[in-house]
Amino acid sequence: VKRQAYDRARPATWSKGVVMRGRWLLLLGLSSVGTPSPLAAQAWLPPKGEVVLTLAFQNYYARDHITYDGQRLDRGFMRWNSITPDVTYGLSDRLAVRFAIPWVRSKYDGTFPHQLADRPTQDDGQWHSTFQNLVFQFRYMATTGSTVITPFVGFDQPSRDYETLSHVSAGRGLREFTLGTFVGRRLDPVVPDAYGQARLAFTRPEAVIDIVNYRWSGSLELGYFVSSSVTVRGLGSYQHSDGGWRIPLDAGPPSSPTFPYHDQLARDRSLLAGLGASWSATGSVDVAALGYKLLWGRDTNAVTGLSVSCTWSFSPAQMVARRRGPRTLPEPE
Amino acid sequence: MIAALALAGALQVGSPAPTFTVTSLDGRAVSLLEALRTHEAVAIVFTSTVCPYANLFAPHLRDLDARYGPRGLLILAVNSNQFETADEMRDQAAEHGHAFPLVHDVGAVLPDRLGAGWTPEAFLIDRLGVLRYHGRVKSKQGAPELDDAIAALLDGRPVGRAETKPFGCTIDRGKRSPATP
Repeated sequence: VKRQAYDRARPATWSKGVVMRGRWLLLLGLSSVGTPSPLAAQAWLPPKGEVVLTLAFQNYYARDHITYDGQRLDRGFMRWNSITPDVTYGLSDRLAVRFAIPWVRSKYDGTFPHQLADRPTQDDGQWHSTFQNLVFQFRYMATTGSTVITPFVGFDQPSRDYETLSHVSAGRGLREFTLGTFVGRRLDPVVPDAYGQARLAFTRPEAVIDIVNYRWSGSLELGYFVSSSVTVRGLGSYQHSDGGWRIPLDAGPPSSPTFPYHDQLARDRSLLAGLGASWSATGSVDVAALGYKLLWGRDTNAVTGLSVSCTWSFSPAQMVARRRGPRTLPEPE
Repeated sequence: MIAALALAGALQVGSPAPTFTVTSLDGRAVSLLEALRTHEAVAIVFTSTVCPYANLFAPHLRDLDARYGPRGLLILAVNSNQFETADEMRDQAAEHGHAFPLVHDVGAVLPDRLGAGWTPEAFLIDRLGVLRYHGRVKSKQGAPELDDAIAALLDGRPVGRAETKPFGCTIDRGKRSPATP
């Protein structure tokens, strides 16, 4: 039924798109899903039995929508706050499993809300919150040494049927499958006390009205150990979606049955850069911060963001053993 | 908290190491003074049988022993966790092929003497009894920091980064437990 609705609407979109753009672009919104991960150096895994628990807070915002041809349009102020518990566990010294679930709180302040007659809007100037997607990821460190190659496979499952038609939707509400790899390398002796990490991934979301808006993403992170407690890092990430819609050309007017899907199908392409630092407070607790900004984009929002995270690494086996208390100790023979 | 206090009072690089005599798991008395008379350097490594990073770096300690033992390095592995037993230490040593002395530090005396708080955590002492390196065995990115320090010391070069921040598991001294004798 959705496909038929889309087929009926799409020719009209194509034929009238340019003429109509000025009218219905005012109502289009784009979800921002490409925010960089606050987690650093994911190419290196925790060893067997180690739990890495991260609590990350992100605040990011945008005022401008960026269309398929690069126009920046101020359509109101969009703000997102998220808190993400993120757990990685070392199943072995080379295999780790990761689980995360962001909780997103967002608010739109503007005069161009998404407002359909039969659907409540989130663009009402109030804060709205929801759990976003359950994230599962397996990473396997295929090589060790100064260069590590760590392929990964990931699954995103929306935790609930959250609203996706909004300037400030929490996400795209789609199941996704991601396949990719990290490559990490210490840069000594060329640059002592530094490392580099690259990430390349392909993501296939589930189809929306028979359209798959798949995407490639890559990032490069460079870290430098200022001291044994402080690391600074620079990050660049690029995301290239293909198969989705050019905004606003392909999405259709608000009256179109395809309109509600434009956030999910936006052909988001974006280049972000970030700078951050982390501090090892103790041998098991790290605090990190990362600021980032969109440098270039199409079919996306001009986001700027800040993430602050706290990571606690621990061994459940040691905690259990410790709780047992001191044991009878045999004297040396 | 205990670990933080221990770190605050950790032995400083360049300071003379406190002397001690301990008994290894095979029943031999190991004196630091005596060891320094017969070796070029002594690496005291606090370890554990349940700490993931201690287990991860256990094969690396075996490799360091094989590579630098003939050049005069003595590795002394110390387990000060009061919830671990000598048998568990022996099993770990057998699993990883450790041929260097293992010390079961009953009462957790050595962490207090050296200011150690973590496993794994290394103290590298030269033949004059001076601490030349303190910190990690390796970084999380695998940088062989203890290896580099040992190589520099045995080659007569200054140790590049002589102090690194150890990470892993806190040493359980067992002194907060009511079950402690």
